[in-house]
Amino acid sequence: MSSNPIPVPRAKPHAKRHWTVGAVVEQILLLLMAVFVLYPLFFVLLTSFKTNSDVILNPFGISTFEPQNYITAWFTGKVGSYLLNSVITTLVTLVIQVVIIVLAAYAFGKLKPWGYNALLSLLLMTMFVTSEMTTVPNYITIRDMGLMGTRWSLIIPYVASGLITGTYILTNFVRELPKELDEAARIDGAGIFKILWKVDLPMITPALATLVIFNFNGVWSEFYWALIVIKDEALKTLPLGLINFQSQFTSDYGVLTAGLVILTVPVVAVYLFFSRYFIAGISAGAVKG
Amino acid sequence: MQRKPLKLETQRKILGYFFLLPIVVMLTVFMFYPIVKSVVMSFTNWSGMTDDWEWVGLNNYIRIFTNMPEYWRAMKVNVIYALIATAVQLTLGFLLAVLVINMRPRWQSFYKIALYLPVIIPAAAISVMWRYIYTPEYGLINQFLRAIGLEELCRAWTADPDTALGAVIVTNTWRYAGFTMVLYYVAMLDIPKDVLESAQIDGANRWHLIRYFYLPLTRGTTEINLILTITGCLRAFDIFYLLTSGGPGTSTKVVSMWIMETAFQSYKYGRALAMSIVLFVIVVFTMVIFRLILTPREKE
Repeated sequence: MSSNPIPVPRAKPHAKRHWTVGAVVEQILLLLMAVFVLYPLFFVLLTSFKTNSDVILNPFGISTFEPQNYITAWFTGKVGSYLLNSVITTLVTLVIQVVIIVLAAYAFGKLKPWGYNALLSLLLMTMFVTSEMTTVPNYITIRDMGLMGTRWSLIIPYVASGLITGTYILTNFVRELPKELDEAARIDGAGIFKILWKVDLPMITPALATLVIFNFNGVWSEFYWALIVIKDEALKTLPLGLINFQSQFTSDYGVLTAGLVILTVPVVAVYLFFSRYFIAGISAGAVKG
Repeated sequence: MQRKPLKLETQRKILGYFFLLPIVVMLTVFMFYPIVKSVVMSFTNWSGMTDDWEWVGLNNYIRIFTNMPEYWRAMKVNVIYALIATAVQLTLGFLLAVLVINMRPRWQSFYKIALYLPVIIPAAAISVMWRYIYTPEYGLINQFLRAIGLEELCRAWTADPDTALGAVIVTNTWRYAGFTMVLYYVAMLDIPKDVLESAQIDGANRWHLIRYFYLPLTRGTTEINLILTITGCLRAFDIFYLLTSGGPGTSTKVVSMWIMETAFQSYKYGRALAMSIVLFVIVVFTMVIFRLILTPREKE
């Protein structure tokens, strides 16, 4: 029984204790914590459908229904434009990242050119680099490349920031792929690219999915770098736009929270849909750390 | 017969270099080069705006250590924040994990997903949300205090020097307690269940289980959590910038905020780089110290 890693038998010993006072107290404590975590989110969602007078008169309930807030946020608050920028920036970043990571992981895990181990160790050192050290020089690099005022001033550094962790995790997966399939395909006359595309890529898709979800979250939420490089209103991403938005609609809580909901819904949706991967990803990260 | 596969092997190795080219170029340009450049330019008076600069030797560093009280005032904010936030986050995260792991599987998944939810929410959204919650007139907290008749406790939570740092810590706890909890939870899943069961049969209560099993057997996780949280707090920027902007006055101004101002508002890049490097060294030093303190105990 102890060798069974699946937590199925756990329910048994505690089933007896389920009705004791202690167990009830524990459940209440956890529920309180869940309320502390979830209520602010619910409060924001509720406010986003309220008129301003309702916000003041009726803080905890709702007596009006004002979806107009979302329309105001979308057009007057330019959330529509911010959202589009965020979507483009995130998509392009993730696509480039995936290509670079897959190639690198395949080289480190399968092709193993001479000196690959030393190179990997060298690249892994960049995991400990902090943004304080890179922000200023990267700003200058991007400026000197003439990319200021374009989307690429965001995309290229975003791509760079997510590469090494992704490559490291994916390399471990590629290394453990069965060699036999490769060899069988090779005997059948398939070239390296065909093997990579048709044989190996489908097998690493789950790991790749985890990476993409993690990196999606990082890129979608990033604002520190964006704050420094993006001055052009037309290029602002959602997190940056929302900060603007806050000064524009200071006391208009309905519209402000509507903007907030639009920024948050995509990440929450992705998270709830892939929550299993998230938890798996954290434990992989913890083992690594 | 033997030559052909060998040649294919060579081909594959050469192709490997081509596959590695993009990542090597990206990391060289945006990681290795910046570090070298940071270190070199921290010895100059570069403004960052023009290409003229002069060597100033150790002046930037000397200035930080002798004539920059605001840097160390900010560092003090970081340290106080790091100590309190880490203590709260780790204790809460650990206790939550102990509670969650003893729930039925369905409740376990619920708490895992619910408590981790804030971790994925963008910092910009968190700050706007919590600013609203802390707002004096219509914020959640003051509305609640009024509703239960404790109006005299109402205040501008993020604008009051007595509570601004506390407000940041509460928000930080809300944001990351679930993260710490999940790390502990994952570690606790690895504790053999029959060991815990036999201890319980021998009369061990919950406190004994925590003291003799959960706490010592998750020491590695404690180390990871401690290092992640403390170094994160020393480098904190986003939540402070967005929630209090360093105010009221400079009472919650953290080091990163100061560095950013020096670089992008005062245009003293050279000095800002020196400030970054001092912070980086302090963070790495803290990490090493904690590893040294925590590792020998593991061997006992």
